Amino acid sequence: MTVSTIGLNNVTFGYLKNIVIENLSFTIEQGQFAAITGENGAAKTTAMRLLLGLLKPWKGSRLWPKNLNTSYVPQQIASIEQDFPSTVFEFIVSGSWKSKKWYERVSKADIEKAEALVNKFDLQNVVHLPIGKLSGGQKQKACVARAFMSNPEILLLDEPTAGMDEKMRNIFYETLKSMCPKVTIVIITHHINEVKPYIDQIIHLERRQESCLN
Amino acid sequence: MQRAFAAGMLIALIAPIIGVFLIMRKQSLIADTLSHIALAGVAIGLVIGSQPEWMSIFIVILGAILIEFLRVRFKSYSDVSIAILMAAGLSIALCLMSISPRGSKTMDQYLFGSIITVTGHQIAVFLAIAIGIFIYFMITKRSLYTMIFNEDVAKVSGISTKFLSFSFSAVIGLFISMMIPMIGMLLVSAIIILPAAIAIQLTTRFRYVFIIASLVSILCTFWGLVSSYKIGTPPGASIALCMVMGILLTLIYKKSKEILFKRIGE
Repeated sequence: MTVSTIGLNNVTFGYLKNIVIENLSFTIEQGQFAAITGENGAAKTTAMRLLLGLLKPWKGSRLWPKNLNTSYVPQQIASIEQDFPSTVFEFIVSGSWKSKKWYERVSKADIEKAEALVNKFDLQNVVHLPIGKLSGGQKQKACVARAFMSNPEILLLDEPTAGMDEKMRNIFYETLKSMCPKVTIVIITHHINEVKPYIDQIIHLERRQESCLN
Repeated sequence: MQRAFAAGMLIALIAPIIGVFLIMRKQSLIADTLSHIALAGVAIGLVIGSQPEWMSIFIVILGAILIEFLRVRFKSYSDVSIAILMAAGLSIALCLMSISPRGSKTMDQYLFGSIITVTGHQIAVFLAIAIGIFIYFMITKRSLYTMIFNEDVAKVSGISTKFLSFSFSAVIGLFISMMIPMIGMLLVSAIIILPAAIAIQLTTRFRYVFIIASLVSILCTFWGLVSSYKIGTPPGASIALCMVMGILLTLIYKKSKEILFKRIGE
């Protein structure tokens, strides 16, 4: 097992008295591109939030090395307000603030990196628009580009392709794949067949408890 | 009058920063709620015989923290908690002031405020607090931006969202309680929110929104105070009226620009 292996070990969790995850275990090795799949209500988002430590398991433990540089793009991030006072470029650059002290300015290297990400995620035409005015798919791409700004070791994306058409999704998966193995990527998706050619591991969750590993 | 200008400029510099973050967080009504709670603080101070100003600061900070606590506890009903605390603040204030002999005079003073009668000592205290608040926002600006964008993203980035939210609320509470004796409870919210609302209409860039909001606020405060001096209208109301005119002009400007671009496009 490498230093940056992450995962859940026999985790049980629920809301109020209802167990939604029971004895779930999986590991993701460093540099892998993994997908968490399953039908609606299979607690995919809950599993990801448990993995991130945003929820505390009732039972079991989480495998997560200390001081891991993590970026997260939650579900429905596309609901950014129309009047959110920030351009797409500013929004992407704001991802670099994570590694800076409050008095440190954004460097030239950060600007160049943001420009490269804008090109990589095909956002050149909207870069000066307000972030709130983008379409759902474009907002998702801008959020993922922002997440890459802090040079994460691990990137977790909850349904990042919502609002994208099939062609856009395939380009998006390809772009993510090109970032591995430098970055470990975990995504939640409904499109199992589409994502299969790109990923190293599928963690399939069944509704209420059972989980099978591939 | 010089002291009034000094106090006005201090308010004009800090209030829009708070306003921008409140609008981004969709919490514009909080300023109104806190000013109602401040009045309750003044009333409690009068009844128990302590300094109303300090009691008001203490109660407002407590109220701001309580609002934040309720926001987290009852996520779906956060606006209801604002309404409850607003009603609670005003009713406590009205009841307690009616039994205090100095009640009605103090009530008027806090409802409408008076920037003209501000003392040198008040300005010195206000200046120290304003500098502290400005430094707070310089340090937390980026973290606040990330937290407003998404709390989970902020948590994963290592930002202590709980501390940030509570400290943000406490800072707003402190600033509002300092503003009330000068501007008046009824207009505090307008002075905080309107310049920020104008700036958000005029720019889409985060780095400029604070500069524009502060410039708008300084201009409106200046014109408000000058017109109040010349015509004899209440200073707080004159400043707020200038800001209302500012937002109307901004909306007209934006609409005309849209129509113009549409015509050029055709």
